[in-house]
Amino acid sequence: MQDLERLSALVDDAASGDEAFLKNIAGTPGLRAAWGRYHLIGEVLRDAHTGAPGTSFADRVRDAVAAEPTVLAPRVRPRRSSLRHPLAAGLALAASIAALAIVTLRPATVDEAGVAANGGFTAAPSQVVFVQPRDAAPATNAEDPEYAQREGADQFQRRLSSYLVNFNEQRSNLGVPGVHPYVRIVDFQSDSNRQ
Amino acid sequence: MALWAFAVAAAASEAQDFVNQMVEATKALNYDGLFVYQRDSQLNAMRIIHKAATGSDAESERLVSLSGPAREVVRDGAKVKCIFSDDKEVMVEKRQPRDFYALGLSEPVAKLADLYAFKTEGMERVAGRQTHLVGIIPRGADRYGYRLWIDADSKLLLKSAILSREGRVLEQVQFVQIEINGNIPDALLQAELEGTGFTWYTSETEPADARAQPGQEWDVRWLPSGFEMRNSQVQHLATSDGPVKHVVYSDGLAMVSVFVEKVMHKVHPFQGYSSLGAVNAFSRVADSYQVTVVGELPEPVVRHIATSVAFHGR
Repeated sequence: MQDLERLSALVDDAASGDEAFLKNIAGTPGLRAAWGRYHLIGEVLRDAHTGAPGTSFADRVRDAVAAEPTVLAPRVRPRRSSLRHPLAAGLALAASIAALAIVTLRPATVDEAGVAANGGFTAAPSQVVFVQPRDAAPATNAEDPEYAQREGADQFQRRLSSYLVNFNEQRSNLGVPGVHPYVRIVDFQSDSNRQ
Repeated sequence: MALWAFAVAAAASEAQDFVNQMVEATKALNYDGLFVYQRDSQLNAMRIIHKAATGSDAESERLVSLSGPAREVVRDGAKVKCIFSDDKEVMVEKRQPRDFYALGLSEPVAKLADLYAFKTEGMERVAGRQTHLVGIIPRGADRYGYRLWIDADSKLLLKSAILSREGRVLEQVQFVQIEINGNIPDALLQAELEGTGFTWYTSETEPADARAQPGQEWDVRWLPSGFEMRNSQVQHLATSDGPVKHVVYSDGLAMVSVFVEKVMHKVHPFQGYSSLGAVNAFSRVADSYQVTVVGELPEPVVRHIATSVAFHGR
């Protein structure tokens, strides 16, 4: 019980894990299962708070519990969107929350004024905006802006996934130290916690 | 005073030696280990299996998620295959020849020393093994710092952290168990996920000598000091309708990629910022081209590089 409480605190970032405890997690099936379960439930809670479209709190809790016995040989979870990855998901989720009303309104040749004239840095924009395709029929998106937003998000996720893989491949070739280049690709928390 | 300066220089040189040995060991040894990856408040477990090149067999590697949806990355001499069971998709990227630009820390000591301070910070125990702790501290605010725990015996990297300028850990990887130089059966390097019934995306790459794109030329007009172009290529990504120009810049430690592609028919351009641990990305649309910069650099720096991309000529 003490281990589970400590594990929960670790997942919630309320405690730091020493090496012995992390090793204990890796070597104890029950703790590994609980670890996966806590993360999945965390995902559910985050989705519930963000109001991500198409998610049902009850369904996701059920999925999380059903997933528990198979954390080490995970089942395929219901598909929620195509080829999500950490970097893309943040942009997509932010966009899904905030940019629905914007998607058909931004001109295609907008250029940011994010950098001051003197070369200094300014604050970052907080979301990604999908711009109206040049050749799309305006009526289509005007009739269904949510569809346009989803389509834009899917296109973007795929492209950014591919960019990230290629960035990591180059990083691998350069042999620079740090986080293993493909860890971010495998990182399973990618698809719901970036905002 | 001269003695103190000599001692500092010697410590820096020793730290760089450790890192160079680590880069070599990462490629040259067999290893099979479990590690945890932390970013923000997330903590995930993964397994890595690495087999060094032998004879005609190229170096190969398999990375597997141990928690959450099954995901795998399998690399060999010819390709990288990323398998996502949750999305039922497989992405295959042809690999660049290894070591084509393998500069790493083979950059001259003096050159890197202008950009980073290298320090040895004693010994620490990781995964039951003694490690040398090396700190790499950027001299400017325009790049991140690193802490590396390098196995005293094998020189493998057993723990690493990328740090913000304020010293906050952005990402951390830590082995909890590792077997070094054991026999790696080929079966361990085969993906468990076959990808049957999945959607496959395959991309190819061809070298490019210049930064020009058909019908358009562009320049990156601002980069942090010490960054130089390391690679330039045109890629035909399954996820893009047209060719994508990919130019890589590095200072010998940090790296940034600039992707430029023409906005095609019925494609939604995008603009904005996102981050993943220490990796930041910024996208913008300029002159009918989609510009995306991805780098292990602070967000304002990535954004500044993206906005400095200028198009000219046709």
